[in-house]
Formats: sequence, structure tokens, C-alpha cells
Amino acid sequence: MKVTGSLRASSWLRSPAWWAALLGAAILALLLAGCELFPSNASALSEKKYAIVIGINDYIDPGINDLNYCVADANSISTMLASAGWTVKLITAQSNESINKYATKSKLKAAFDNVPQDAQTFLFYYSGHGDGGYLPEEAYIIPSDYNGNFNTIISSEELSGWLAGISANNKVVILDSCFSGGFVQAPDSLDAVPGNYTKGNKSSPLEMFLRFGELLSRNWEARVSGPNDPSALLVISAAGWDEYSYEKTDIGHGLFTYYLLDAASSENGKMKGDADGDNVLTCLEAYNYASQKIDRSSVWNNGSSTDFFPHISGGLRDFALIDKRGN
Amino acid sequence: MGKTRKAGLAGLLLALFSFAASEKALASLQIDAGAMYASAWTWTSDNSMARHSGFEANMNMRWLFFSKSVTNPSDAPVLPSLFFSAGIHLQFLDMGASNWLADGSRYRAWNALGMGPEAGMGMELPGILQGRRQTVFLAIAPIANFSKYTDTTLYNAYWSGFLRLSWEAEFANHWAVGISLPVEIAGRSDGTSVIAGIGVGLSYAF
Repeated sequence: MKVTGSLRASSWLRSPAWWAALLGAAILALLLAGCELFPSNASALSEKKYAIVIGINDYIDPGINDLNYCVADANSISTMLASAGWTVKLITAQSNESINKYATKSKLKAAFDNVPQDAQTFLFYYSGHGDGGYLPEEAYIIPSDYNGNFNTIISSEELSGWLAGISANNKVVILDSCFSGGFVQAPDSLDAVPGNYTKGNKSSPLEMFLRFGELLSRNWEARVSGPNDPSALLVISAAGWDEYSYEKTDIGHGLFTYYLLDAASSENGKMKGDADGDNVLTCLEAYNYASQKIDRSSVWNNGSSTDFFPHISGGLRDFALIDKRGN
Repeated sequence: MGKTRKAGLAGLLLALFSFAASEKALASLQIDAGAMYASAWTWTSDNSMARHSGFEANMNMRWLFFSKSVTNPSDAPVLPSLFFSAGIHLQFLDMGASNWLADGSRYRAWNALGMGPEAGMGMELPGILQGRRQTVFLAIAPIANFSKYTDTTLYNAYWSGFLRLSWEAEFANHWAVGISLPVEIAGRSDGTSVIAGIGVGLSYAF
């Protein structure tokens, strides 16, 4: 349908100035859309990075099964981080822990207390026993001197308190332990993968869409949560809140840590997990690489296949794990 | 606050009523689709701003309400007729991860499917390009977005507000091409994203 205007033309509409203004607005939008308003990031980031890396094979209580490859996990993660410019505090319990007491709860707490105040990015890596499976947001990591008393274990709440005492702007927690998904919070999101995952039971996008009201509500809660910055902490877990994680003899590592290390290894001059090829392996890229590898592999436990799926916390931000720019 | 809103709504209704009553209103259904290369700028209260790049595709269905058609004296220039519109806006947005901040962080990539009611007003311009119809159009829309952090299994949702200035030129009966300058502001998690760009589109008026 065509409609003809009924009013008389005013001079401004026919004036070149009007059209010039429209053209100018278009050019401005193009500039906003296409120009780099921020400096390019061709060189490596120079922020101060500090990591506490824990691996516990030997538990003092003889009632707790010792593990085989957690120290190997910690050593390899420590090497990986140190080679990428991180300052690493490595704590391992290989053997004779009843005498050495290297990885007791008090030693781990002391390590947190001694994190440099000027560190901009802090990382806590843990490989060892975990406990949980009771409630989605309730999980524990187990120091070497755990004796069955609740005050000798480290709960998700307690770890949050330790982390709150660290002044770094970016905090990363990576846990390769059973039930570690209980440490992962996504206050602004819902995870399509349940904490007791079996292959194929991820929620579909449609199923997630049907929870739209709940998603909006979570976003609102994240917005009004006050001075706590939910984006400041990024947590990656090897398993869901109701799942075991596994170590494997043939690879000499925990499965999750093995793929995390694999993500940082080079192939054709590029880190395998560096999805966007910018020579920076981010936490999210490493997580994504490891979780896809784990989902495609089968872990056999007592003759049956056991599924588990890593999880990552929500929030807007992602952090550099390995930065090889400028190398 | 409530009184101000009521007064604003009453004023808008009065204007629409006057518009419809003063002249013989004509309505037309229009469907358009467009796409744009877009940038987004994200920040939180505790962290600096960083820029994302990506694209957006959108589709709109709207009723256009025109004033009546009048034949002008042959020697008089023709001036734009105003029109109002109401319709539905649907969009899909895909943004990459942002550039790096100095502290070793960046904002995650995300994608979102959004929908909302759209209202607008515009002017139909006299034929400048060989007598073909042209319009300049301003639209606003609140949009509810179903979103996902790219490469994760984390879904979320957020509200955004959308403003778009567009210019359309008819190139065949019923068909028009246009360019648009959309700006969208989104309240995402504990931060804010502003999305802007320049888009191109194709529309069909019934």
C-alpha cells in the first residue's frame, strides 16, 4: 500500500544538511562498530599471578585410601603454570605424611594467609580426595590430616572464606576431586548438565527455555547481589556435585587434570585448547577442551562405564591461564 | 512516580487518538529482516570496559498506522506523513569474547535469542529517489533474552532495551531495503553490555 504525505515540505528535510547529518550518524555507527577503541593486546599480559597448587597422595588416617597420581597432577600443573609466568606455591603429600605433615589443613590455611597482597590473579589448584553428594551446594576437600571430625575437613563455605581474604581481582579455583561440583556456583545461570550426569541426559535448549522465568530471576539476583562481585571468582570442577572423579594408571594422572595439561600442550605451534588461536589459553577454553574430551571418553570402574562431567561457574568474566604471546 | 507514568501513558493515548481522529487512519502490515555486524561494550561495577565483536540478525513484524492520503496540488512539494507502529521484534545475537583487560581477564562470549514488543514512529518521505517511497523510522523495544555463555552448558536470561533508527527506500512494489543504527543496552548478570552497530535489511509491506 502506498500512502502519500499530506503536508507541505519544510526546507530542513530537503536541505543537504539533513542528509549530511544522517550520513554522519551512519559513519559514526560504522566507526563505533568497527574501530578498535581499546589498545590491541599483541603483547603478553603483565599482571602478577600467584598460585597455590596442592596434590595429596598420602593420607595420615589409615582408614582413608591413599591415591596414586595426585602428586603427579600437582607437579605437572605447577610446572605448566611456572613456565607461563606464575609464581607457584607447591604443596604435595607423596608419602610419610604422618611425619612430614606437608598438606595438613593448617598448612593449607597458612598458604592462603601468605598470598601476596599485590597478586592480581590468584589460582588455587587441588588434586586429592573430596567428599559430598549430599546437597548440590555442599562439598568438601580433604587435607592430609582429616580424621573424621568435621573441623578437620575443608568445606565449600570455609574455602570461600579463605578466598575472600585474598585481595586479587581475579580468583580461579580448579578442583580435581570427587564431588567437586558442589564448589561450583553459577548465581546468574543454570547448568544444562546435572551434577549426577550420565551420558545423554543434558537438558536440551528447549528444556532450558521452559525455565525462562527462573533464569530471569537468577540474573536479577546476580545484579542486586551487592558489593560481592560474582565475576571475580571462577571455579572449575572435575566432576559434578554427586559424581566421582577418576585417576588412571595408563596416563599417570587424574583424567581431568590430564586433559587440562593436554589443553596447554602445543601442537603445530599452537596450544591444543586455544580455541580462538590468540596464544592465550583461558580458563574457559581449558575447561571446554577437557570437558569435551572427558565426555567422549569412557571411564571403567568395577566393570561398568562411569560418567562424569566437569563444571564451570557462571559470571561474565574469563581469565588467562597460559599466556604465550610474546614468546 | 506512578502518577508521572499514568500521565505519560494518557498523553501517548491522547496523541494516538488525536492522530487517528483528526485524519482518516490507514494501516499497513510490514515484515522486515535484517542483519548487522555489531560491537558490544561490557563492564561491571568493579571491572573496566572491554569490547566484543559479533553479529545480530533480527526480524520484525509491525502494523504501520498512517494518516490519510491526500493528493497534493501539483505545484506543491510533498512533505512527510507521520506514522506510528506497533509490532513484535525478534533477534539473535552472537558475540565473541572481549578484548583483554590489563588485569588478565576478559568478558566471556555469549549468544542470545531475544523477543519483545516494539513500538515506533516514523516519517514517510516524499519521493527523492525517482519517486520511490522512503521512510525514516525510530523504534524502541524492551527485549527478553534467552542466553548462553558460548562453549559452556550455562544458560541464563536478561532484559535489554532497544532503540533503532532506520532508513528505508522502496526499490520495487512492496519491497524496500534499508540501513539501521540500533543501540541496545542489556543488564547481564552483575554487568552491563551496550550493543551497537550498523545493519542492513529488507522489508515487505502488504
